[in-house]
Formats: sequence, C-alpha cells, structure tokens
Amino acid sequence: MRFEFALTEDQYRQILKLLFDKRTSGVDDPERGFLALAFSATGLDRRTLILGNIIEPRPGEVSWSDRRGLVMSHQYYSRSLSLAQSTLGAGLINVHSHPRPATGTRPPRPSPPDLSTDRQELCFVSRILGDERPVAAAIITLGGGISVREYTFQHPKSQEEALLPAFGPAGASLKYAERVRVVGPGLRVLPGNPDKPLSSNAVDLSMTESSALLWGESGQRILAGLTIGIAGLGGVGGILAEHVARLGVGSLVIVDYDKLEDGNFNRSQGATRQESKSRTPKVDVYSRVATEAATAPDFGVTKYRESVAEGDGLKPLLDCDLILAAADDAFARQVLDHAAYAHLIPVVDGGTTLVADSKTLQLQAGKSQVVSAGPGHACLECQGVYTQEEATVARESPSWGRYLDLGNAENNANQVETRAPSVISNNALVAGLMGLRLLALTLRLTPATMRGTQRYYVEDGNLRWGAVRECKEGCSKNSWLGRGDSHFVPVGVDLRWKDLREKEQKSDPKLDTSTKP
Amino acid sequence: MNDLESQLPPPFKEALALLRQNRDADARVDAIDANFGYVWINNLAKNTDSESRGGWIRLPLAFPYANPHGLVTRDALLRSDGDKVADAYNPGHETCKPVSSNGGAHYYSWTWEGAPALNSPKDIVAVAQWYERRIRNG
Repeated sequence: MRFEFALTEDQYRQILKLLFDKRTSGVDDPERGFLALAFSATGLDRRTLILGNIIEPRPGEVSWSDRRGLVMSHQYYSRSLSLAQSTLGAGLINVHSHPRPATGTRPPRPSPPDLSTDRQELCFVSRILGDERPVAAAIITLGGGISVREYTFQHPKSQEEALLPAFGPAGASLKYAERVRVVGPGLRVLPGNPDKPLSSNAVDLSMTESSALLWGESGQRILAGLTIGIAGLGGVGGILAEHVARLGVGSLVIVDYDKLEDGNFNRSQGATRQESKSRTPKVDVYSRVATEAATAPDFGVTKYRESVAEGDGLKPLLDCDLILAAADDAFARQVLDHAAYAHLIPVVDGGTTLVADSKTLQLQAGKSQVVSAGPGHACLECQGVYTQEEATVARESPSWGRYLDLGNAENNANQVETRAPSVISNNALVAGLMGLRLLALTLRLTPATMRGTQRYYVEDGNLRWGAVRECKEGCSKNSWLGRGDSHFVPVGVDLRWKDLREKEQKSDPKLDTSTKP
Repeated sequence: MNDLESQLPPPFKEALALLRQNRDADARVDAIDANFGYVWINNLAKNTDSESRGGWIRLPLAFPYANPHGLVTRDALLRSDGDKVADAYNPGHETCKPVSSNGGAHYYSWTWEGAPALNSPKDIVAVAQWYERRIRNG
C-alpha cells in the first residue's frame, strides 16, 4: 500500500511561520520543533498520514542545546499525549526544522541523531498510544520541503519481552511518505522521500504540445503525476473520462454501477452502438474510451462497478488526489462532501437540471452548475448543491428525484420508465467547466476560478458566480477536517444499485456484478 | 449490545447511548432495513392516557448526517379530541414490515423538512421530543 502525507495549505503556512519566523518566538535557534496530532486516512491502495492539530509549545517546552540538539520536554510530550489519547483515532507526530536547503522543495534527510532521538521518544509515545495510532516524525526546510517518516514498534506482551531490544527503540521500523499533498484551495504535490525522489512523470509533448504552451513541460509533468477519480459516468462523467485522459493525467479511477443502454446512448460520448446493444457496464466503456484517448505515456485506469454512496465505491476514490463528482445524486454528493474534508481530497462537483413544462414538454428553465469543495472551500451543502433532507430521501427511495412529474395520475403510473430531461450539450458544458476547474486547482492556471459556484442559466445564457465562498455558521465540516478514518463518512446502501444487483444475480446466480481490477 | 447494535456506525451508537442516558434506559434498535434503524422508545408520550406508549422512530444509520424519517406504532395514533391522526398516515404500510413481528402496524411518514438542523449525536434527545410534539399536533 502506498504511503503519503497530507496537510492543508493553511497548516503549511502556519508551520513555516512557526519554525522559521524569528518574530514568532523571539529566539534564534538553529532548529525549532513542535508536536502535532496525526490521523490515518485509508483508501484501497493508499494510506495517508494527515497532520492534525498543531500543539504549540509553551515557553521552555522546546529548546536547543549545542550538546543535545533540539529537546522537547517531558511536560510537552505529556500534554500532547493527553490530547492525543482524548481524541478519537489520533496519533502523534514530532516535527522539526532544518535550515537548509533554503530554496526548493527537496525532501530533507534526517541526520543520525534525528533518527536516534525519533526512536527513543516515539517508542515511548507508541507504547502509550498503542499500535492502532500512528507515530511519526517530520522535517521541514526553509524552502518548504517536507520529509515524513512513520515508525512502527513491536509492542511487548510480557515483562520478558519488554526487556528485549527488539521490543524497544532498536526494534523500530520506519517508512517514508512517498509524496506530500498540500491541499486547499488548490492542490500541490511535493516529493516526500529523501531516499527516493519522485519519479519524473513521463510525458509525451508531441501529443500535448498545444496545451503545454499554456503550462509548460513542468505543468504537463504535474498532470502526469496525478490520480483523478471520476464518480459517476453519466452524461458528464463519460465526457470527463475522455477529457481528463487527453489532458495528460497519469491515472484515472472510475466508479459507476450502471450499464449503457439505448435510453442513455444519446449522451454517452465515445460509446458505440454495439456497447449499447450489449448493455456494457459504463466502467468498461469508459475505461476503453479513456485508454484510447490518453496522452500520458504511463496512463492507467482502474474501474470499479460500484456505487459511490457505498463503502466499496468510496474506498477506491480515497486513493485519488482529486475527485470529479458527476453522480448527480444527493446521497453520493453528501458522501463525497464528507470525504473531501475528512480525507483532504478536493472535490469538483457538476451537474445540470432541466425543467420541462409538464403539458407542452417544452423547456421551461434549466441550470448547469460546477462547484469545488474540500479544504479552503465552502462545502457542497453550504453552496446549495444538496440539502441534508435531500440526502435523506435519496437513502429512502430509489426513485426520488429521478422522474419527470407529468402532472396527472394516469401518467404518474408510468413514471417508472420516465427519465429526467438531459441534453449532451449541457453535459459537455459542465464537463468543460469541471475540466477547467481541475486545471485551476492543480496548475493554478486561472487562480481566480478555483473557488465557488459557477452557474449557467439556460433561459438567458448567462454564466454567473454564486455568492457563497465560506461555509455557513453552524456547519460542522471543518470540525472533521483531516480526521481521516476516525470520521464516519455516511456511506450506506444505494437502493438503485441494490435493485440492479439483485436483478442481475437473479437472472444469473453465478454472476459477479462487481468489476474490480 | 445485541447483534443489530454491533452493526451500527459510531455516531448512531453514540446517539443510542445518549438516548438511554437522557431519555429512556430501555431504548433499543429492533430492526435495520437498508439505510434506517427502527429505534424503539418506550416512553414516547401520546395524546390520551388510554393509548399505549412507545413507538419506533425510523432513524437513518447515517444519523446525525441524515434526518429521521417517519414513525411506526403498534396502534393508530389519536388526536386529543379522540379522532385518528390523519396526516401522512399509512396503516399497514410495508415500511412497518421490519418491526411487524413486534407489533408495528401503523406508519406515519413524517419527514424532517422544516425541523431544526441536526449536527451531533446529542441531537437524538431533541428528535424524541420533536416526535412527541408532532404526535400532539396531529
């Protein structure tokens, strides 16, 4: 399983100030340090250690001596351990500064005394917190480079074992975080392992020349290093799968449980008639489309025939650097909204609502919307993308919000087969705006477009920005910011997927409905 | 903790513990159906003394991040004037099925629309109070 470290952009700035701004402490020590809580956030193939609350040292709790180096007092450790013990799932990380390199974000290498101190102090910490909670150490340079190493200790089960060196500091094993994600409102990925620089992400500029004119080879390499999730492969998600692959993203994770059919063929860009006739799962269609469209030489796509609203569908998305949410469902949106904050993964959501007159079946009104959420953004709920009541009703009934109200009982009886209006051109508009938002967040191509809600109103053809930029008072999303696995993301049973799964299994009891790599 | 309760997500478990501590020591989960748990509250008050107390609140497993949806009772609810509560009343509805073996037979599909926002497992106590008010209002 890959191992990474993540923190918010606000924390990153706070740390640099705390460790390098002389005015903050009034002392001129060669190194400074602090302790902080740390949380595990686990996907299917990646575990991230997330920086939690920084426990600012009180005067005298952290000091420098030429003989012993940087010393964190027992009192400081004791205070920090108490906080960790009383915080669900929290571990502890020891962070200190290295003055060099002063520029660049190369991950610093710990000195032999650093490693020796880690083992001594963190072995003690681990014995108190238990092996379920993470213990780690990090170094940050003046230039902003970060290296993070997580320690595992063997916990003795008897007094005899406790005396053996293998169960003490000498028995420690350590693992470096391969990458460091700095999140919110944009996304930056820094190398994390001093022993293994980030592999230079392969790019083929002959295929991306026109777009690399805007963001250069370095921008193209950033894209090639990203893993992007697409939640839902309907009219918007399908287009996105192709666009994102053509932009040069390195890895794609796609999640959808539905199958292609004649009824959704008119908005399934890239799908063939044969795939429609054979009712091919959308994840199969769009893994093919994305693979054929990819411009990154080492492109890879993994597909999951699952619902985003269920644990099995969410888990692979927790391996992603950014999630494009095109599920068009309040339940799925709420799940991704929670994951965005708890797991520090930015989410860009998009969708369209078209309203037809129930009698004339003429277009009455419509709105396409693109929103980003996660650290540094207002949440999807506060930006009006869904309400808690909508997310509740979506858990209740598979048919909620899906059908056109035809306004009379006779037609209502036939609603089961009626679809919400959808036009591929509106889907393409949303997918285009979501793609541009992805570029704004990852390459800072247009920094002013990173945050907020963009709405296109069908009636007058205007594209406007929504007013909400911050979460509303009383919103609790920030209280679980970075809490990772210790926050319950409200997944459940997607009743539409359950119905479909049961029907498929009934028709072929040997059928495995999931499409997992 | 019974088998059903061991399946509950942590915030729901916390809410149930708070309900037992602050409202009804015998509160329990009698059934789980898809995304909802049926929480029996023994001392849920009704309008007339002749009515049996108690009912099952349909509490989402995602509580407090999703809202309660509906109440199931053994007997039809009566208003204070003795008439049956008619609002969103569904006698013998299939939603009663998970607790039908415990006598659940009457479903009131009251949504949380317009009710106070829920943020914390602690809000479970206010949910029970809200259902009592809802019963009183008929």
